[in-house]
Amino acid sequence: METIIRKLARSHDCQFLYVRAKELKLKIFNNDSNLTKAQLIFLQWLHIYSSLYECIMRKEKYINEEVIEDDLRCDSYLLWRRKNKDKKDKPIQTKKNGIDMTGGIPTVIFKRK
Amino acid sequence: MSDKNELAKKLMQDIKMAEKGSAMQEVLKDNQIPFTVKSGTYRVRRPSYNEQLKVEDFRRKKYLKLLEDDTMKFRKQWIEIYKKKDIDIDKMEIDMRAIQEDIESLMLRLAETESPKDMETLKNEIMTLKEKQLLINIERTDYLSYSIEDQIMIAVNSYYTYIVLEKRIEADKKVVWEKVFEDYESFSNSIDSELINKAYYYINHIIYALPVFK
Repeated sequence: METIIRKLARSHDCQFLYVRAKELKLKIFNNDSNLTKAQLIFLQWLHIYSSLYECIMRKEKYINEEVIEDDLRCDSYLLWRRKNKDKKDKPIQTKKNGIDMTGGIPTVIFKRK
Repeated sequence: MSDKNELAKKLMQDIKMAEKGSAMQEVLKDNQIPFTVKSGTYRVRRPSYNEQLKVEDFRRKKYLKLLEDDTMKFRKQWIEIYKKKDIDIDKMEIDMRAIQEDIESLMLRLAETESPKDMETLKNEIMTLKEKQLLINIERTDYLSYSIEDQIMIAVNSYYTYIVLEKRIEADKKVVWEKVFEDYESFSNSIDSELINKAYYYINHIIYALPVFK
């Protein structure tokens, strides 16, 4: 099921519908609520492929139409992007033992006797 | 001649894919899925709130019944029974996780590679590992299929299907949808395997397998 859903979700027709849906008040489904499992999966992949096409427009590394068309290469790219995002988001240690590490100037700690 | 055959083969594959795509569009467009069998047109759909309560009620009663049956065991208990027979289910899970780490490591390399030859090699390695992982998972699932957790899931999915399965009836130039089976027993005893199998197939598009324990 998911292979076919992904193929639909990345098609230009569906991507156009997804991107324009809010603007033009288009309905993606006949039902407004109580979505089925297939509909939820479809929405998820619409969003993912939309973000991947934006990555291509921004000329980001390792992503192009060929990658999008190949499920395994696409999954590999998504994994790579997630791992790299985790590395970027890791917080840098700014304080150690009460000493401010962010500036290059050494600070003085006053201790009570 | 062989080129022509190859082209014909590819065209057939593309046509099949396009047909599957059209069929999937029909499945996606609404939260009810109509389908036909020899005996007529049927549908499965998302349940109403009251129907969901009935499913929950069935699940609770079924769970109690399974608990009262001394021959029924939880997954944990089955794992212990199998250990005495030198079948290590825990090790299967560890093996699957280890294979997953290898798969992800290869996928990261695949994401960064630009050489078509390396891509092909990595893809083949990944698919081999995925098949290995799948075989272990199938074996593990088979061993645990008699557990209370799995039996509850099967029973509840079956009840769910009975609740939402409807037949299209034309009466006085109007179309109405009526429940196919009066009660769960009639559904369970039905010999219309084509109808039941198709209903189960489409239910899989409508609901996630209901969690056993919340």
